[in-house]
Amino acid sequence: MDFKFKLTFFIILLFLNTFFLFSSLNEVKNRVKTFKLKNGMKFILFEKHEVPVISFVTLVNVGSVNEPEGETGITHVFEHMAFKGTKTIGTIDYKKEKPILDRMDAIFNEILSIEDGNDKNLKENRLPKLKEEFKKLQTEAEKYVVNNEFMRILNENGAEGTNAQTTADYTAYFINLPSNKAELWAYMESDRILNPVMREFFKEKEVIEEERRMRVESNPIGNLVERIQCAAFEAHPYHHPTIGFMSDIEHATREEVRKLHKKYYCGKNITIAVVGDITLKELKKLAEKYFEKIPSGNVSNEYITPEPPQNAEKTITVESNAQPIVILGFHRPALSSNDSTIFDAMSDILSGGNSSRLYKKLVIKEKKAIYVGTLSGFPGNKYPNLYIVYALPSNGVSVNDLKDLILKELFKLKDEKVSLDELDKVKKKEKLSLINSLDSDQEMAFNLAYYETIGGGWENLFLSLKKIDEVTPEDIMRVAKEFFKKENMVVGILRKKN
Amino acid sequence: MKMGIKFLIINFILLTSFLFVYSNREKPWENLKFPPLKKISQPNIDVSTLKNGMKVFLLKDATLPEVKVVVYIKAGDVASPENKYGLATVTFDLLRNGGNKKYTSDKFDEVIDSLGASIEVNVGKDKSEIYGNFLSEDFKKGLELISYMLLNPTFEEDKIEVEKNRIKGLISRRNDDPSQVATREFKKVIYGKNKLTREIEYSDLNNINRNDLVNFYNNYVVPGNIYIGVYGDFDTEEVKNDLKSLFGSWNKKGEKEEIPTVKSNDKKGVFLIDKPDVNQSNIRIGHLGILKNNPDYAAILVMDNILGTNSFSSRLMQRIRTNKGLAYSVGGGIFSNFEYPGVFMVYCGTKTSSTIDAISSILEEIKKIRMDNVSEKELEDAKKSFLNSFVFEFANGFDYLRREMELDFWGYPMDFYTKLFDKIKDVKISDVNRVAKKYIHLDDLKIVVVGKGDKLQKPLEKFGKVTKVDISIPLPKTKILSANDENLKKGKSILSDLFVSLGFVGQKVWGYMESVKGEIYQNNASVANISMTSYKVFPDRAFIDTRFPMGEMRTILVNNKGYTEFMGKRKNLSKEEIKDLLDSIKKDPIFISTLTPEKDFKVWYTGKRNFLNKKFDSIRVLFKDGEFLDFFFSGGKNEKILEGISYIEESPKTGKVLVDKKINNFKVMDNIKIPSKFEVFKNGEKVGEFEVVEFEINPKKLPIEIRK
Repeated sequence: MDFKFKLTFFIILLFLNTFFLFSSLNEVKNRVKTFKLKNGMKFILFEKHEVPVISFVTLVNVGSVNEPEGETGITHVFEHMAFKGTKTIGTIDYKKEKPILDRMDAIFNEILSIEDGNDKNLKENRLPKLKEEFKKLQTEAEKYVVNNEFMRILNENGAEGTNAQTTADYTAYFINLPSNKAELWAYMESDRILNPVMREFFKEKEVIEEERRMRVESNPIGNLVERIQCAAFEAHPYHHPTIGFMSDIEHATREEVRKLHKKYYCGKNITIAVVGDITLKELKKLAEKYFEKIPSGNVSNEYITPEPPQNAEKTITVESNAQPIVILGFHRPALSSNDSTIFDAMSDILSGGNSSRLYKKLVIKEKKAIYVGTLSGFPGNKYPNLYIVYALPSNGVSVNDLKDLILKELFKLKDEKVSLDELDKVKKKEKLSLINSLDSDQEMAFNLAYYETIGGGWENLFLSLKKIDEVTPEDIMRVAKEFFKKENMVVGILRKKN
Repeated sequence: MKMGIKFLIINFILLTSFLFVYSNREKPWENLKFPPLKKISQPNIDVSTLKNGMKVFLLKDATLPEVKVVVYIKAGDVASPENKYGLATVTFDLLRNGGNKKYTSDKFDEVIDSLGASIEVNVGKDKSEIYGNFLSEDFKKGLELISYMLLNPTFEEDKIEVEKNRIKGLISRRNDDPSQVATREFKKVIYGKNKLTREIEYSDLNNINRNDLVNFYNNYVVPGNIYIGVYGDFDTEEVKNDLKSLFGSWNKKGEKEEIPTVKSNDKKGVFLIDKPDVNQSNIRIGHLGILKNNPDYAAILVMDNILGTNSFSSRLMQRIRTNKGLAYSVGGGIFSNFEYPGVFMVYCGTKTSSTIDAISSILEEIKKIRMDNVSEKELEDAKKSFLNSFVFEFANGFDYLRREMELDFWGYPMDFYTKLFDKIKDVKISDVNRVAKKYIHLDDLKIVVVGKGDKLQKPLEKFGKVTKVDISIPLPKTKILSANDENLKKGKSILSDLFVSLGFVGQKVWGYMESVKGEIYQNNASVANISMTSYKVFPDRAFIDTRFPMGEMRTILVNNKGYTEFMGKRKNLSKEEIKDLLDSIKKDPIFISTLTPEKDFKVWYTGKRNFLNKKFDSIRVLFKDGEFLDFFFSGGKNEKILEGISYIEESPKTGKVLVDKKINNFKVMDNIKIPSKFEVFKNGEKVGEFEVVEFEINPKKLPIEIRK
């Protein structure tokens, strides 16, 4: 075998390998089926019949970015309320329950207006009475509640991993059931979209306040992250913390939340992805029977204030008793932009694996950090957002030194082209990472729905591989030059209180 | 019979109103007709054993072009020696990161990344794991890489340092997350202090060297301690052959780890960990739990489900979260392990002001479940939720493989879970009531709270004696030479040499004045300029005038009393502040030079030791009260140069802090060679840099406040 032949053979082998990979992922892609209901609601299905289970993901295209000022946190409040039942689930008699709930709303509004106002007389005399009456009504309303019935029904039917998630961009609901219970899912999910009843609203707000204490107020890193978000986005509503500001949670009313639900929980704004043991025919039948009655709604392309360019480096500092951390954020375009793939490639080059640039330099060579990572899409991906680099300094290393070292590595990408070897690593990494994103049923369902809603179509999930194959060293240099600039940077520092 | 009727009547009265409404209630979901569930075909795992004892589990699934490999090693940190705790962690991490005979560590990283793959190591208390994820086209190579790690690691010295640096960073961060602190300290209270609950300390890392790693590897990384599992898109026969050729001739015998026996700890009461900067208390309540092979395991699982493990519909969730709005996270149950008992633990996070309410409610629920009041509906709901979700055991092939491997690994039968589900079918109310009483002991409950100590201490006494738990992180203990005759003699003479070289001899000194200017550092960056003039009159009078950018502060200490004046306000010094000031006089080399060795303090030569990452000769001056001061110096017999001093500062707020003063320059002032430029470090982090601008021994004019 002469050398030339050997080389050709090698190249063919390489080609074949990639080809097989593409073809087997293509096979996965070709098995994805979709349909749309008359109300605009989209369904995506991946059939898998080996084990009789199904993962359902409902993705509603509403996140904290859609909240009006002063009402931060209400998207998340609704997510909690979606587990409180409907006109039939979770109540012994909705007709009797409703007037009590309505009366509570009226009193709560009056309490708020007195508390926010300056009238001393009202505060001293009227307020205590109102609060007492409110409490009484609360006890009265509790009599009609069948506790946690929504979850109970799911649990006793064998549901696993029932959960929900609210982010800046979307709200997602997860239910996994044995496949013979598919209709139960359709019934429950459609009922809570159509007929949610926000009962136990005020108690649940207290629960959410505890969630905020846990995630933000008693957690120094959570605290820093929230402040970076607020500082990085001055005009764009990405500055809304998804959990909501404490006082906004306290002020949240059922009316506000109901408005949000009415506007966004409608056919055109919802995508449901299903992975598991169900056929297209079966799913269609359930979809038409249960989900077609949901109004299509009229969410149009909303105007959202874009973030004007920053003109100098911004620094946010949080002092606490915890060990230091440094976070660098760079404004970057949305997921749907062509540069998105290039940011993904950059992440792999900077922090994907032990041989990546930042990890090797900071953790292994210089021992200045014990961990370094990157993150695309903070706090969301739908709109221009932040590309994040973060590092935990080694004991005794200053955050400023570490910040300078990181910047030096980032700026190198502007001056020197990355090697083709590095790009090859990226391409391999992205392939495995795509496969990983499909390897549990729930994750696959989520990613299909996510790409359909935020990423410009579910097919883009698979197209990302093709796009990454096309990334060149020049692309990376161009993007680094455009975005890795101090005037485009927000620095977050957690440091020790002295 | 009579009792039965009475009971029925009471029940009827209590439930009438509900029954009436319930009967009229529409429950459309109950009219849904579900087809029977398809028969489950259990995934077929191929189990085999290599001649050397290594066990192999294979599960093929060609849905996606990837392969996952998991290696279980029967050794974790309980196998580490007592004074080298963490040796398992360092050794196993170095299998991955410390190179091997085939590849240096840097090359190894390159190769893994060039496959786009990942190989990770996870070290536990009694079991460690290697996990690899590869594209199926690279799987053969991936398996080879894992074999290099297991068979031929080289433990490169500099990578041991990288690993130690990483773990040191984790040690310093271990108190940052209050919820993690709560669970960790709870386990210490339950299991007592042993290798299952110990944490790696700085001193352990200092004791660990490369030889220890090699020995540990030789003792524990042997075929008889290892299981390999492979899941994904591969050819079974090919993998079997690959494994045989990679591991078949690996013949090595080693040791079995010893897992500490745990028994119920009789310490009772409340254990409080003070975290002043949180507004939420993390609560843990419970005692020792059970082994997984407990004959009542099925009934206990059902009881757990009713009490606190079923998300949303458990009693704890219902009461604490849904009804009272006291917590976002709440739940718990009797947990189990394969090889040593788990814990019975209830967890909850609630705002500081509702801590007592939450604990009381949890205690009530714990009492209640032992009072024979589990209802038929609760039992049925709990059983249904287990039985109907059984099919999910097989939903994720890799998880299923790992579970089956784990059973065999700990010597449990492979049909353990299938049998367990059969047993759950048969659990009756009487079983649930019985296990609640048998395995939950009210008089044994321990309560651990992480939260605002000053707000919680008093109110918590309601639940029993409150013990404060100190979680401050111990500084590395450095070994110093013992104070034997030779070292004592040497120390005395070195100290006197040092004083001579500094010009501290020849006059009777009772005090001094110095003016210093400098910068305060925070996170290694200068944050403020200060200048300071201080008068010290030995041993207990001081006058300190400090100028900050925002104003001037005066501190006066006289007759064991003192005060500060700042921005027109006077504040008396606290006991701790007075002690700090007295210590600062005591730990001053000029003051020590006025004392008599042996009578006032002990001094001895302590050998070459680390001072801010450099090695210097050292002596220790030890006072009668246990306080000490270390001198680090260089130079030969004739002239000794003081490089720095170091001591421990202790306060209730900060715990023990190591203070290092590094001398950068000397200047002769008033006939004394004064360390004129110096830096101050606390726990290795720079807090200030100073220069002496004025100095006077036995000052002629003392401020009026401290004159006699």
